[in-house]
Amino acid sequence: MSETKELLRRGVGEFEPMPDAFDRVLARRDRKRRNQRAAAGVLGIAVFALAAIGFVRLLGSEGTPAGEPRSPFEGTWISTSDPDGGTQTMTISVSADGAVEIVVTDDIATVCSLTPSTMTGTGRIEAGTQLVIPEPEYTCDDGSVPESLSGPPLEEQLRDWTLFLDPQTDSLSDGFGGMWHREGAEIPSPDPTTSGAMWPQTSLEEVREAQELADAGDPDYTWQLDPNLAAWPDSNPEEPWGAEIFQRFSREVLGWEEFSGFAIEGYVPEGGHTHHLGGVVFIRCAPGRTNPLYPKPYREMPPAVRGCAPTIDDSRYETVRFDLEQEGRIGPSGIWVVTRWELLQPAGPYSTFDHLYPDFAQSQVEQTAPPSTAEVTAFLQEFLAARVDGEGAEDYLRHLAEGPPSPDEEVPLLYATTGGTPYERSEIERVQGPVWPAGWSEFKVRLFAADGTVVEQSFVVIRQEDGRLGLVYGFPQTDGFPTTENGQAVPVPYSILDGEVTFAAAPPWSDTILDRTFTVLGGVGRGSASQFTMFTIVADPLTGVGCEAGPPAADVEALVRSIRSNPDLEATAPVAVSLGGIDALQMDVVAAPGASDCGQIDRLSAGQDGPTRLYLLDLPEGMSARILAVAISALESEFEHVVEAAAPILDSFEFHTR
Amino acid sequence: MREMTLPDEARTVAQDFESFFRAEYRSLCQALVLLVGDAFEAEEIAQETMTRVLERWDRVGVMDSPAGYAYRTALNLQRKRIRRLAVRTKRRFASVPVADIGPAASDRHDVHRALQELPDGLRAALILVDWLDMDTEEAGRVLGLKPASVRVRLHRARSALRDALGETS
Repeated sequence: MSETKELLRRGVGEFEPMPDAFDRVLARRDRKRRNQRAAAGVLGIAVFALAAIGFVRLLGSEGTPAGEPRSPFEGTWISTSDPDGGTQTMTISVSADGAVEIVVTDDIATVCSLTPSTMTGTGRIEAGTQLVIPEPEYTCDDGSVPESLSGPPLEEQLRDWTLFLDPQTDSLSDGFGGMWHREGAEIPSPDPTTSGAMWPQTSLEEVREAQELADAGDPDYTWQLDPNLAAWPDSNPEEPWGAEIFQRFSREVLGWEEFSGFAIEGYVPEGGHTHHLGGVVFIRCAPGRTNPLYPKPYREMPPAVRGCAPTIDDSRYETVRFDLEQEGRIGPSGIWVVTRWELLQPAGPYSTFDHLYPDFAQSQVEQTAPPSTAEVTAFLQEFLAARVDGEGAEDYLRHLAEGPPSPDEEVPLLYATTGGTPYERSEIERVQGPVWPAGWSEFKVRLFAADGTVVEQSFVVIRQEDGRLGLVYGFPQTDGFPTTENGQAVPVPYSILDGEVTFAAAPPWSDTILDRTFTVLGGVGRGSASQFTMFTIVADPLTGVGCEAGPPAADVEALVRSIRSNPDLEATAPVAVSLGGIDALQMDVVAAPGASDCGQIDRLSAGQDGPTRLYLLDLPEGMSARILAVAISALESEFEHVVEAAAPILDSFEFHTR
Repeated sequence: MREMTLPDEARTVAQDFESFFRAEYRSLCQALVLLVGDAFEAEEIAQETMTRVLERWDRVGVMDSPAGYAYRTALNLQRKRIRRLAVRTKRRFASVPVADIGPAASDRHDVHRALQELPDGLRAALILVDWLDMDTEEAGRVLGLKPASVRVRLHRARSALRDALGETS
């Protein structure tokens, strides 16, 4: 075995797939068919991963005029939670005309090579508890240029910098993990009773002694033996919520009278026995109380949670996460101990993504009242009415996460069919939901145009942080085509060079690389041949021969010369064509016999696995690149078929000079 | 194991698919554990991958390399998932300490951490070649790269992994 493989084997460890993996795949496929959708992935996650949802705390809050006197944001705030150890001081002032201004100083700024920095900005207060600074200005006090250590440029990372006010603790959080307290306020220290170490023994020595006593049949220790836990999940895939150590720990350590376990993040098997359970999550239930937000057990609600009312308020559950391990002996005769535990804290703020993909083992479980059927129906009808009316539908839409959405997250055909015919009526079909704890529901909507065209799309209705409903297009793990027109998939619009070049590709074309100057689509081709299909677009490709990359070509003619002089490539003579109304040259390229691996045109994979058709064009003046190269590559047996499938993409090219 | 109730046609497809599943699923999961660093995330992607393969089994089953199709599907799923997980992952890694659950698990964490520090492309190349024993040509087809590029990535990934784990070559 190679050295690297041995390293990787250590990474895999004792991992074994779930024993019922095959049945789960069949069930997932059936569920997809049943729903005519692919929501199964989320349901699968839901078995193991739960999360807190917290948008009801802002329910009903309306926008606060920025000029409101005595704004709760006003004042001086201190943060010492910066990982670099620095202290940040923020002054927030609200002027009479409503403008909010901030000044943040940091005595140790990582992005300024650990020298002091200052950030200033103006912003607005939203929903009463959020202060948004659209474009903060960040400067290093020594005059150097702040430099982001990872990810996008700093100004992009800071755009729409938002502070979230927690009125109960009078503190601010900034979404990057920073916590802010008022200057002079006492910073609360962690409650020592919210976490703990090993239980019921407190050391490995004690565990060894307890193991001996359990072996000898001492009833004070034999309860720590649990062959069912050691055999889970092979013996029974149902989670072992009734295990005595769970029960005793919840009652004796936490003092909980009623509780419900419903998530196990992971387990570690060895020699056919499970000896470690990680991220076991229990929630506390209020005795004798009906869940006020979910009084009836909805179909998608986990059975373990049905009938469990929260204890903190109507939304929040006391939530504990703990790990279990057989520290002394592995197998049915080994005793189990809790090795660590902690009461989970609220997480927030939550993105739409968090609502749809809750992670229950990371934060306090928090439920949201599901909107009533009447509310959801009215909301969807408003949205669809806006689409029929031809304006305002965008206001209802939300994206999964921060940052620009990928092209397939944008809703196509918002106001009209591809033929431009407006809609005249619509219908709604509930697919699933409400799904606990966020209370979202999934719907299919159909829009009917006067010419008989039917557009069908899927949306999830979620309750947002501000209490209002919002729509998420498609579904995060959908396998189908989120929009169809008369049953046919609708092309997804793409662009490169920041929108200067646009085009559209219908599924099964799908993106694999999306970059400002480099995009690759794939997914087309019969059978395994689809693996070799690539529709590649590169702006300003480099020239070069062999393994030496040259400079970007000055123009298409120079690029063509470079390709034709490349000894690793055989290229046809260029033919004049038009792409998106611009003159272009088309040529076919294959690898020359005995070609080296370096005989490629920059990122275009030309001739790598089969023939490649190239389209090369000089971009119009005023665009941010000089040349655009489009390559269609496929196995020789598939080439004509793929070229045909790519024709609609080529026809869709448009160029937008600024 | 729970017995599923399936119509006859579906049962036939499922039986054909089952032998493929039994042969490949474990390896797919293991590769994904290395790729994503989390067993449950890995199995979730593997489940979705195999579901997609099953849905297209009439076409995938006659391919020269159905496993190649499955790995490509899994890699695509993982890439899309990574993008969508980015926000949450950033928060989670910032706030949750790395678990300390014994020497074996610690060892596993070290390898996972080292793997996660590799750029996506290097990590994928390493796992396809060094874990799944694909040759650079096969891996290149899965990754959409020429074999030479796979070899370059492989070399860099191996070096980085050894450096991160303090091993000598």
